[in-house]
Amino acid sequence: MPSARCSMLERAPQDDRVTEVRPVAFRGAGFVPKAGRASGWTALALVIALWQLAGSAGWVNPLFLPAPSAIAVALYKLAMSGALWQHVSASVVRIGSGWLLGTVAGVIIGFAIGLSTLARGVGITFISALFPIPKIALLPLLILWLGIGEEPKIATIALGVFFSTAISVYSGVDAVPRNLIRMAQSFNVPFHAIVTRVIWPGALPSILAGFRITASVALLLVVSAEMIGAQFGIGAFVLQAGNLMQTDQLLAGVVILSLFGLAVGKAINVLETRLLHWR
Amino acid sequence: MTDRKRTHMDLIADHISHRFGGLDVLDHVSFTVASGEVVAIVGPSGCGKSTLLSILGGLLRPSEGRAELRGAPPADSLNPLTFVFQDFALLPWCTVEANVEFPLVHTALDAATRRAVVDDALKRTGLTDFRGAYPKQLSGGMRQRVGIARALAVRPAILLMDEPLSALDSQTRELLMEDFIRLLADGAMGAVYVTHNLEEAVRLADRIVVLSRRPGRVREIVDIPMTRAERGAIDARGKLLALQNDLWSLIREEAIDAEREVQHA
Amino acid sequence: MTKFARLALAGLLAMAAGGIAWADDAQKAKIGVLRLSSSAPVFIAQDKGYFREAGLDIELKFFDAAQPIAVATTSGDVDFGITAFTAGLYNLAGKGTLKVIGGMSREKAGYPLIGYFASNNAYAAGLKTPKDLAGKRIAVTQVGSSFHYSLGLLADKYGFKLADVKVLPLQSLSNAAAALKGETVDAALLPISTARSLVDSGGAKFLGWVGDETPWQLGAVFAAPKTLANHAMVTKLLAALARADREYHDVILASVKGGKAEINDKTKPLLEIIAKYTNLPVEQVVGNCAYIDPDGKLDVKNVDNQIAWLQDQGFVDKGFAADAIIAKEYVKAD
Repeated sequence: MPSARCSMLERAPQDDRVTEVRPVAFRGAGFVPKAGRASGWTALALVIALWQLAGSAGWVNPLFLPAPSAIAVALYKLAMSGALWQHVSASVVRIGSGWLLGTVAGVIIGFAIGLSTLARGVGITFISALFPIPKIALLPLLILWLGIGEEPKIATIALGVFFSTAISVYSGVDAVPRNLIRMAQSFNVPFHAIVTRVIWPGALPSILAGFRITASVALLLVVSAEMIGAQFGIGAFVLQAGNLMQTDQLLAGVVILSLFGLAVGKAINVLETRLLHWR
Repeated sequence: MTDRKRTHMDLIADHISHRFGGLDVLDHVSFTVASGEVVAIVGPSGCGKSTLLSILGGLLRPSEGRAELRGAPPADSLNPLTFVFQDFALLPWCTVEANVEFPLVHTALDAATRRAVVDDALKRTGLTDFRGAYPKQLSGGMRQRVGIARALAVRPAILLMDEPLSALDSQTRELLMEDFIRLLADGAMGAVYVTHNLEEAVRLADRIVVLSRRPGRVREIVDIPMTRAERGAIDARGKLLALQNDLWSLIREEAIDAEREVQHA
Repeated sequence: MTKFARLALAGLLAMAAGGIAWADDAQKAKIGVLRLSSSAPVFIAQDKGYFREAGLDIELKFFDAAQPIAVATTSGDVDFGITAFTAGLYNLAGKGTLKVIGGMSREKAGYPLIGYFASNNAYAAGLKTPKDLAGKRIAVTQVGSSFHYSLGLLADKYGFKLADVKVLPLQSLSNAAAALKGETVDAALLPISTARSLVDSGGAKFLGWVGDETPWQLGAVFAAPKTLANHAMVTKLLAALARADREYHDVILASVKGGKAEINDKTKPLLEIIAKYTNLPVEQVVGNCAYIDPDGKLDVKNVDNQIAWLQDQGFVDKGFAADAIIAKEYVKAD
């Protein structure tokens, strides 16, 4: 067989049928998705338009799925009554302080775990044991310990943020190339300077990636946090709308929460481009 | 740099042995790098060359024996034993300038002096125009020049170079080799040059330490009977090539064995 | 002749099939219900076969909270719902998605259900009776809940403004109990089932029962408009329930003294049925007997009052009253 094929190839130029020229077929298409800015927004607009159509045409019961226009009206009424700002500012304070507390504690513990053998042994055990506990199950305990003021609300958010931050910080510290640390050691750079000038910036990409997650966690937890006797707050508003079956207001609150999410995502993008421009 | 006072500082490998877990990597390796001398370490892959360099530079504790310094380093040396790394080990978030300044920030030098030292190091490596660039913007050769500039900034007595050219293409290697020859020309700095490339060893070294395959032992120490300046001449080429062939015949059998060896998981 | 033979054959077959044919003829329906003794007649009617005798094949669907029952009735996942009135339920009913067809549990003097409880510190500081709740920090589960409304009735009765009370919604009974025990609220409205262990362990002080202070219509039977169209089924269901209501009233409620039903030969079988469906020991069931009208009547005037109050508070959409959500053809008004 091989010899036959060989002779066929040698004869090929003389053969009329094989002299025709044709392009090599391209087969390398696909598998390189690009983030299209326009397509995302168009899809969103389409979904909203379809949703509105379904509502206006009466295809769905407005109780089960209020139309976007009904949500917009609910938002407008909320803004006009002034309650919107009370809700938003109460939540922003809780989310902000809870996130900050959880993040500071998480970064400190995360660095300790990343740098010290003792802290690693103890810390990873505790984090593995405590991280999976649903914080909402602890609400009655938090109320017993901290009352029903701002403390348990902030603590709920801070707890949720803390674990994710600690994990992303220590994996970030672990991911700093060892050769950079050895390089710094070979120049007799002192320990504290290795931490601040090599490990911190080296871990920053995964710390910021962690922030992206913990910011969402904080937004998720504000609803749980405001289960604890909150009179104002987006979470309290959403809960109340749910309890009263005011589905348009419920979704208005959800829209506000997703706007928060979008804003936080944008802010982290800005942070990333400013702090990680070297990547 | 060139006008600094010559002092003597020798680096001595004193019966250094090392094992990783149950694996013997180095076995009683001894030799001396005299002040201003360039010593190349060659051997089949896996013979512990880089491990040896880490031990000599104080980054790794040997299982037995020790690395010693004899004599005093130059008074102005900020880091007598200074590494140049195979993978450059540049801080990706720092500019060229900041990378070169990195080992100086925690020294007693004031800002103005630091600046002058950095400027000098950048000038000697031809990086002055690239001082604001980030590592990712530079070619491999330029990155290694930053690594060299950073080493020069601390005025080392002995450069510890760990396969500094092996991550680069052959043309860049040639250019950097010329830089090394120039930088080492005045004998103010010594160097330990770890390589698997015999041509580099023959062109740069005063002496070549040939290690056996694992566990690495000193098989032979070969003197190159020419100054580096003389090696540039056309008629020296044949002699160097002959030397290189001699070295290769020393290593070849073991290189084959080393290559065929199955790695322990 | 052949016609007669055929009929005879059919009759024979039907007799042979026996119970199976009986089940096939029965109309199937689902009732959404909580595992609380305030739904006792439903359990009795199911367990003693009253539904079956009325020609209904009833499946009980158990829920954890009142709201989901209302939603499930609206969506058609259950045909009937039996639970307490809440603001959420009224909002659904106000949109015409469900209607009340009969009365169920009531807050009534002598039958403890929901109580007012004070924290130990507040009690020591002078909070001794429900009247003293004016101006205090009071935990409830949710805004617009039965607890919230009971507090509103109390405010009306003693002439204080609800706005003067700090009402704190804590979303769950365990949260409210924890807040009371932890001294972070002055008082809480809790059902007797939650409060009993708290009071017994000295974690809180009892102030009074809602039923003694302000009787009102707590729960009802309701159905979606689609179910209402099936007149025969609704009538059968209500008849079976009324039979159980009467039995529950005459046997158990008649024996209640000092807030507790007696355990005797007559009450025991019924109490055991309730115990079975509520997963509680009989000893606890006896202290937890909701009043239910023997004829399944609904206090329409109170329902109207509830709606008006919730509308005033802004918890229920304005523009409808009790008559809009009551199926008059079925409801026996009080």
